[in-house]
Amino acid sequence: MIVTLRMANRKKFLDQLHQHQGLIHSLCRSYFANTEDREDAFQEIVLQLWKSYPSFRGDSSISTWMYRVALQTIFNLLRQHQFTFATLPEQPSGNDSKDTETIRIALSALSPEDRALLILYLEGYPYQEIADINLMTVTNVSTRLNRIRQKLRSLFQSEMI
Amino acid sequence: MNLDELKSDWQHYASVTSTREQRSLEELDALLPSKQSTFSQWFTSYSSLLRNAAMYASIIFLCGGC
Repeated sequence: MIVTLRMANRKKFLDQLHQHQGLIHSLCRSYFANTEDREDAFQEIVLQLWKSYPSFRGDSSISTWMYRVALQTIFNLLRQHQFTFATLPEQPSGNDSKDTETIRIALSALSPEDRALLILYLEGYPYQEIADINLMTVTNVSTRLNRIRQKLRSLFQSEMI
Repeated sequence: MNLDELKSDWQHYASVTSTREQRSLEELDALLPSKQSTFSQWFTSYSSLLRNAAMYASIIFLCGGC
């Protein structure tokens, strides 16, 4: 009986993970330039999601919960390895479009925390959910997004000169 | 710059990434801990505890005269 329940739980988790894995891949690519680091990060995130799955009560959407766990895991990995963010994330080969390049430049200019805020904003999350995911106040999210906006504005203006 | 201008760029960036790195259910399953049953997990940890206890007891017994 217990084994059957565990198998059903595992199947449900895998279905949800399969459906939403894109957000984890996007996060890994936005934080880790190296392919091996991205692979390690992906595996660690999946493991942490699986471990904390029993505590997921459905108070938020599954993608919000996955973002929260994934970002916490990424920040932990960054602290452990003391990575720096001086380099641009690697670009997917064969997709040398201007869109992708703009995002790479924007993300590379930001700290890990600001990167998370920008990604969540671009994913269309409301300020309240961004605040919940990052354990911040809504005012703080708004202030930091304004700073990000100003920073990117001056960055892209200088790029065009 | 308006951040909303970056939204379509991000959608493109994210879709390129996820299409390229999409994993199958089997590949994702392989990343999880094995499907060992609760009983076998309990048995493994319990027998390992007994083995350790026996080892420490024998060390204490043998060194009792020291």
